[in-house]
Amino acid sequence: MSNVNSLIETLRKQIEAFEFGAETEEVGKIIEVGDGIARVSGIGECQSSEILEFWSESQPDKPTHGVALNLEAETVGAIILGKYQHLQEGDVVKRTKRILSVPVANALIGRVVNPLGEPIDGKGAIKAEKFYPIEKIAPGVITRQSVNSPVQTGIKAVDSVIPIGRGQRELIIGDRQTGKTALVIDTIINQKGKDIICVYVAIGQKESKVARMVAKLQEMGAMEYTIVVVAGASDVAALSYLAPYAGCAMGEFFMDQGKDVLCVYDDLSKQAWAYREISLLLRRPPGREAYPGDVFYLHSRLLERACKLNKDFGGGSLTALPIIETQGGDVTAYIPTNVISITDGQIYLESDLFYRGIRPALNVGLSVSRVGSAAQIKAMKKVAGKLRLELAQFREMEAFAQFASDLDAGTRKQIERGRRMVEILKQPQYSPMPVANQVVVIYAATNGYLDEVELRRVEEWEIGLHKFLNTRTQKVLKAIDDKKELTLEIEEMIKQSLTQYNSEVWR
Amino acid sequence: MKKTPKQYAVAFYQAAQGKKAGELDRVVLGFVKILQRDNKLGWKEKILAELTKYSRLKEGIKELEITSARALSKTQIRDIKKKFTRLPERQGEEKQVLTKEKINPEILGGLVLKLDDKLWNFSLKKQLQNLKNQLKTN
Repeated sequence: MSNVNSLIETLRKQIEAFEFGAETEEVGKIIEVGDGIARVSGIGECQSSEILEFWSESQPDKPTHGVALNLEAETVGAIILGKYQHLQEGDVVKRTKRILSVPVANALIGRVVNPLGEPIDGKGAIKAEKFYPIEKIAPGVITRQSVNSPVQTGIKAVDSVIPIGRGQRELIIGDRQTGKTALVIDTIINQKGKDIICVYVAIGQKESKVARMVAKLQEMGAMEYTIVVVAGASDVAALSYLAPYAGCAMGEFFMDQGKDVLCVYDDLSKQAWAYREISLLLRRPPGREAYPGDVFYLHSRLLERACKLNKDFGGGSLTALPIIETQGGDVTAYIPTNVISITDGQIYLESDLFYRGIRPALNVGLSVSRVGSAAQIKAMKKVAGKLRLELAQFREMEAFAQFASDLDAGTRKQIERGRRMVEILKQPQYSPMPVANQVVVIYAATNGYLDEVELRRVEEWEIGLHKFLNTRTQKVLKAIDDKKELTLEIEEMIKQSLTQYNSEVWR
Repeated sequence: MKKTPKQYAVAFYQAAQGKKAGELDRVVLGFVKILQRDNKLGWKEKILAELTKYSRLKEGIKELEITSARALSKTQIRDIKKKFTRLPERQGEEKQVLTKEKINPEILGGLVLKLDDKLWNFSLKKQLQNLKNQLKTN
């Protein structure tokens, strides 16, 4: 009874303390709505990217949110963030005086959310610690530092020849079904224990594909450090347009705490399509391929937010892996050339290589990382230099491969070694490899330890080698992990291990 | 170039500016003939709405929309208008404010005042909503 009395007393005090007052709101009216956009009259003091509330008579308790994009003389053009079919001409629109922002918190890790930060995985609400603006000016020159530490993708071909650093933007470009998403998923899986928070932004993808991918990440333990932001294929174009910025804002929350973040945008081609759709509906003038004139700025302002901050600003980093889908292998199209010119390098995946069984289907010759060996440990830098050179020579001589019987012994040997190097760079999906193992394997390939192995048995040889290294010569891997460079002593240990493996285990 | 109802309204307003009664008839007749020529007689409602809006803007006339739960008397409306125009930022506006009354029982009580884009919500429904939100957060 006393509990009830105290409850009543508390309520009474709260009611007495309540202050009556009027709120001043700025309101307008919908004059046109449809296809995810609305034209609003009134609200003359509306700001660009301000959140608006659309109040419908069919839903009087809860407003639909939108964002003002076009500030015109008589009207405001806004995109609606969600369902719009219930909105009608004449419905009231209120200003919120808040610029579009997304809730951020440590609790986001391990969750699947939409671009507004609302959870969609059914695991309950997320309490926001802060609100980060979706649009933000990228850090300036003085706050940055050059990229000096690697993001280990666990993929031999990438970590050796096209290394990615923390704070870099590396574009992954290729036709459909060439393994672009597989490459980034393996990268995310390999970040386990490496103190990197991953943000995967799925733009315009099938929700079944996203669900499968989340299940895989869960299975591999990657969801412990990953946030998944989803703007599905059935969501409105506005959400696909905003999703990469929302993902970047969530990543910046962790970067500002001094942590390293990896943001994957899969894929920016669909974001460009969504932006084109919104711009055409808002009657912005179309340019080349019907994209609006600022489609370059759409991507440049997103990717410029990836950086490595210097110690005075926390020392955190945000690495961006944007994905672009080409049509028919055409990398000279409008959007691909735009994004290539923005990023610090690109990884080309080719259908041709994929169908020939070279997976990941990386075209090592055309791919580049402009950060290069600054993003590699010294051990990998040493072995990768030789690999790159020999692969380049092999590619030049590959055309002569059909005349192999007419070539001198030296050239034939080089071609055979090149073939084994290509074979060693193949890797199955969901099998990222630690960097120490990569160093040993590449060392073996470039120093002739594979020369006597039949080409069709190289994969089997490699599997056996890793088993051998992980069980009988763990000290070699530990030494590489600790020292991170190939000292004479470590090189000697590697040689001994490889000789021992070839003579005792591999027959 | 495609003409809009607003452009017709502005043109008519400017043509009618400063005209006496007899001349005004001539201007109106001329305007109707132009609408007929341009096949825009069907736009008369839109043009009238734009004309009302434009002339009020030019002459500084504002419309104060008063929404109440029950019908208000003329005295009450006059008092509301007086109190509203006595606000420091509204000085000198008494003659320039027209009132428009709306009845909406859903607000339960109190008033909702709307002038241009600004809305002042003194309704009972809003106060109860605010009280509910405050009790929920506390």
